[in-house]
Amino acid sequence: MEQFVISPLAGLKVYRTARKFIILNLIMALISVSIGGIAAIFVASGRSQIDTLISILNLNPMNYYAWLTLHGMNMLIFWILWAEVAILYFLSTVILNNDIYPAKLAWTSFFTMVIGQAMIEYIVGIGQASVLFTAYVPLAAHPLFYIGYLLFVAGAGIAVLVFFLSIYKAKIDGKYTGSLPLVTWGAVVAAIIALITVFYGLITFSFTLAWRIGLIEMNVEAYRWYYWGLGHDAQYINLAATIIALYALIVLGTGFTAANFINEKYARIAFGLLLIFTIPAIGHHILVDPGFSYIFKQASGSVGSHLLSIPTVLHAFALTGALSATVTASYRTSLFGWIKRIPWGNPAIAAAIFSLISLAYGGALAQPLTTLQTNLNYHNTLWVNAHFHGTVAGSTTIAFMGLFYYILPSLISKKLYSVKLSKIQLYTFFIGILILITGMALAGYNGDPRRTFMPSDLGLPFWSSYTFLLALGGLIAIAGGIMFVFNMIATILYKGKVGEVFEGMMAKFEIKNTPTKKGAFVLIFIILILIMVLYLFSFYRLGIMPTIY
Amino acid sequence: MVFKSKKVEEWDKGLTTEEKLWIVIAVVFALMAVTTLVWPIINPTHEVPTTTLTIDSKAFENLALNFSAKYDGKPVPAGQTIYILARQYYWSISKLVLYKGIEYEIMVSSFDVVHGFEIVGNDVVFNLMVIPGIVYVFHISFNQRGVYYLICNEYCGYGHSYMRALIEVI
Ligand code: HEM
Ligand SMILES: [Cu+2]
Ligand SMILES: [Cu+2]
Repeated sequence: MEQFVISPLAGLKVYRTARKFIILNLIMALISVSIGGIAAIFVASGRSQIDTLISILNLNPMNYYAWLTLHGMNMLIFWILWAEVAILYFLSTVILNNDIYPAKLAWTSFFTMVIGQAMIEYIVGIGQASVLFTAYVPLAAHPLFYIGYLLFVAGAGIAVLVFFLSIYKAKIDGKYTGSLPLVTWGAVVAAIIALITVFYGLITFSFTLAWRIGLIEMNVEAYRWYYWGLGHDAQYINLAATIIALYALIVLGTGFTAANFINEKYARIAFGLLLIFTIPAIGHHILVDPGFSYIFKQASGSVGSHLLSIPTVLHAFALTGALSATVTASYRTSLFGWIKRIPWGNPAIAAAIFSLISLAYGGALAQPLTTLQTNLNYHNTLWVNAHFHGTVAGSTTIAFMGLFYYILPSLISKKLYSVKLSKIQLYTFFIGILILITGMALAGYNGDPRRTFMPSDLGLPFWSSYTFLLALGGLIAIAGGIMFVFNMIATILYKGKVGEVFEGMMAKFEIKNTPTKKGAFVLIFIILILIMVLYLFSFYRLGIMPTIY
Repeated sequence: MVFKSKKVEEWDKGLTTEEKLWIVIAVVFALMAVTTLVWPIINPTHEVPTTTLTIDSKAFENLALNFSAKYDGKPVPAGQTIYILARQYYWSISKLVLYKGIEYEIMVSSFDVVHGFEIVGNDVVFNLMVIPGIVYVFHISFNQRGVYYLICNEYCGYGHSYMRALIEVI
């Protein structure tokens, strides 16, 4: 048997061993998102302030926080990391016509992560570790929880090593020459941030474990700092991975035409800036903590964190610009007329645009959060949840869903089980997430705290219409999530249909006119102005509240 | 092609004017962070508190209990420092009564785990972290009469949602 098969995607070589690992990681990602999704039903209902929902699901303070811990762990940590490992493997093997190297290490990583995850699912599931994914000390979980966290993080770290070693192997075997492809270059940035993240994670959880079994004392603020070294940096692995996925989606969805309009130099500079600006910005998680100095909070949490918007804003223009150039090269349109001509029915393009809109939404909500003074009004309210459901549940998750619709068929040379369902899925999930985060943002704006089980007698009456939106959007998004998992599993299991694998998934464009990015430029400029207005408004709002200092 | 490796000369092609302009816009956008630096000059009385004390938790507990014994449900006179202790799952005070327009000094700390100090109501939302071993000191002066809620907004265990107190401004 040949070691590799030829992929329907650009004739790339898919090595069987590499394929096995990518699919295994993808399956674990699907399992995790399913558990996280089931938990989401309980969590969204527990916040709905609708007592019928709460009693049908038999929710109480004891099980609510177990569900919430499961939701946070499975969504933010397990789903995202398994998906990222799958993507890193794809970008260091298939894209480089390369095999995975060394396979033994990849197995080690896989089993370490599986065992770590199993420990956590078990111990949280039986209610012995309802400490939420942040596990702030001195709230204590069963030691198995910390061991599981440690193993999972270590396993992910090993996967990152496999990524680097595979690239190294491809290089010495002459599988590629010159610079890495743009997507793999972006992945290198993500992987470097991942190494830093893993470093913080190993420190955090080995010390916490030692504290838990009584060996050492623990400083509460030191824990919060190291934990966010893990938690914050991890979000920029996600951002880098999302942006890689977006470049790939825009190119795939336009039948490779958009690749002509991506300035790789520009994109590579932006990836480099992301790496530089991520590391010093941990401080925005502790802005209203008593244990850190004012200067430090301003430097790291406020100013340092705002610098992080630079690379994102650069990529936003590169991506939207490439899309508008592709469309305007084919059709003559007015300044914004190209928007109508975008192939909205194409899964890759729909995923890319929905992901970008969610990112803009989540990013806008981040502005008052990451600013020292205005953080006073938003910290630990559902506004924070709105922010990261925009960035990670919306943007990252939608981009990954879209990407997997292409990665999976390219690996197994089978058509997607249903292309039509993939489109319906993306629309449903996106609309659900938009409603969900709007509900969360409005509730949070009015002070509804996050991480708080809220039957109607505890909820303040002026929150209830927003929490209704939260629950409504949440259930719609969950329906979208189910369609995704179903389509993926069906694609793996069914026999396959005849015909071209990517039929109906790559729109066709011709380069007939001079392309222009002007419409995209103006469009994102307007969005930036709107974000600024919201930002300045949040200072105005702080100013009319009672004095506090 | 973004999926193919290429020589440096093939991708290192310089930037268009539009792209350079966009870099400037991105930098200017990020510089709106300057507001955070000048805000203390514009408005020093709406600011993240910076004063902290380290007091033994037993000693602070006494202060808080004495304060509640005297002032729970009764108006706090001007000049009196307010001590509030958070613990699983209640605040040391159940109803704080304050006068409108008077500036009070509040000290808050935790007896056990991390809690969150949130004041909400009447278009007001303030959030501060409460960390065991550290006392957060801040000043507050309400500008409107009415009822506000003091709720815990950092998960602290099963009874977290029930950790509530009232603040009445008269
Ligand atoms: C599918 C629909 C989803 C719904 C209905 C949903 C709903 C919620 C709700 C209501 C909360 C807040 C609970 C509280 O603070 O009391 C929450 C928290 C959270 N969600 Fe989701 N979510 C969804 C998807 C996702 C996805 C896809 C991700 C990540 C990729 C995610 C990550 C998180 C995280 C990290 C938290 C915070 C947990 C904590 O505070 O410990 N969610 N979710
Ligand atoms: Cu962060
Ligand atoms: Cu609490």
